[in-house]
Amino acid sequence: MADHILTRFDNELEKLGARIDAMAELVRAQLAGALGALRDSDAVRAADIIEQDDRVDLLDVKIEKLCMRLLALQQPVALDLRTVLSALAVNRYLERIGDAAVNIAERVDALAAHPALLRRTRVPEMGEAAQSMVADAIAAFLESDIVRARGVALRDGVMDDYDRENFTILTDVMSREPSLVVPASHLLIVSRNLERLADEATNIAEAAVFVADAKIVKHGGWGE
Amino acid sequence: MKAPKIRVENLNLHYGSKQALHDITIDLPEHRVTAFIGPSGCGKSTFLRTLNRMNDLIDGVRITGSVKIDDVDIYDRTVDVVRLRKRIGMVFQKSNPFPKSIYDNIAYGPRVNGIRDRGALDEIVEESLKQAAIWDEVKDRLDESAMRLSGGQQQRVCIARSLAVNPDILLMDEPASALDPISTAKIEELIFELKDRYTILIVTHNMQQAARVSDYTAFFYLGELVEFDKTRTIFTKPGNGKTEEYVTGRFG
Repeated sequence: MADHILTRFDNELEKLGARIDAMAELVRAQLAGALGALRDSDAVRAADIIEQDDRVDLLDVKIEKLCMRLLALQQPVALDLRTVLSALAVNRYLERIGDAAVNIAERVDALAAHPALLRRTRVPEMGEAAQSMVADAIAAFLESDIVRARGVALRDGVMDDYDRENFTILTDVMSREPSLVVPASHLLIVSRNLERLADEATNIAEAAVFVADAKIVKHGGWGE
Repeated sequence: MKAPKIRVENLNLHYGSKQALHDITIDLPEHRVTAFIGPSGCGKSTFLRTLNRMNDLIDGVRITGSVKIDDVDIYDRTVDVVRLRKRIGMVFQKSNPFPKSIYDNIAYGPRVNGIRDRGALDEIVEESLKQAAIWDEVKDRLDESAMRLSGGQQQRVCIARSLAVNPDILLMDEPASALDPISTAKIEELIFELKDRYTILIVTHNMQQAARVSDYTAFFYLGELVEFDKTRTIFTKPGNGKTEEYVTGRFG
């Protein structure tokens, strides 16, 4: 699409895109770091991830302020309005993904002594799937790629299945091996965090469709 | 805030027995766009016109207080008003080109100032029209009457004309209110580009325009300056309840 007559408007929109991109990079790194730390029982790396959250929070506030400024001063309409509204929403989804990653990182210490238990669950596959969903959702949003967005939404059901499976596996472990109740509880929460995080990835994918098509597809509105 | 270009202190203005401006004190920053907003009759245009002493032309006007530009009080007896106005360009709501060629409109001011050399005038005309973002549209018809241009083009020619005498302040009184949206956007973009070189003060009824183009906004009501702050503050979290009511369309 052609540039706006007002270059300031274009500059602000570009800045918004760049900040969402930066936020996405931070959050993806957080998620990869948290899952890596979990896999390798690496408490030092986990502590790093927890610390990084301040950067995410800072950027989150910056993006909100920029969106507010754009809405108040530039009065965006049509595509521009959808872009700013979606950026505001996507920013929030990303921030929550970051929070979920931190929550996972916080459990690394408690799970470090139980790598075998981790491998008995579907958490490792779930982590891989969550990362690819997040990556695809962000790419779909930044590139207005509806096909890719739809692909993300379709994978959300698989994550729910994994989570249910983990629930069965872990409650079974708890009833048979009371000594593992604590680590198994942590893993239940890790699983739930991954499932939530996939929901946020789906939300981002839905925002991609909203920007491109002005269609609101959440709550099962994807159609055929 | 940037260093002030204009410092106004305790400015009062009466039209006969009616007081139109009450004790205005404000510092207007250099190389920034400051917008004056407020409902009709709030004094914003009157205030703008105190800055180049346009109100002097009206009978019965009495002004107290001081307006300093670069630390010189422009109401001082020793100030030459003609020279003062050379430093302050003004653009009005209705474009008012002279019934002359585009070229002569721009060259008018420099000629009055004694520039006769054709080469020098050519250069000023081209440079001014370029700065006003209209050179490409008129460069092949500089000899045509400016009156034949569209409203938006006429307004940019008027801006070019005011730039030709090399002012350092531009006063704009509703410069885009008679224009279509695209011409308006072009004027707004132009204002944004010009602020690197000029201190720009703009009166506008269009609050959204003030939001888009200005760095600072002053809200006037009943002849008083209610609030002056960064535009982003005025339009996101103004400090005064009256300002908030006005910018959100609750009165005015």
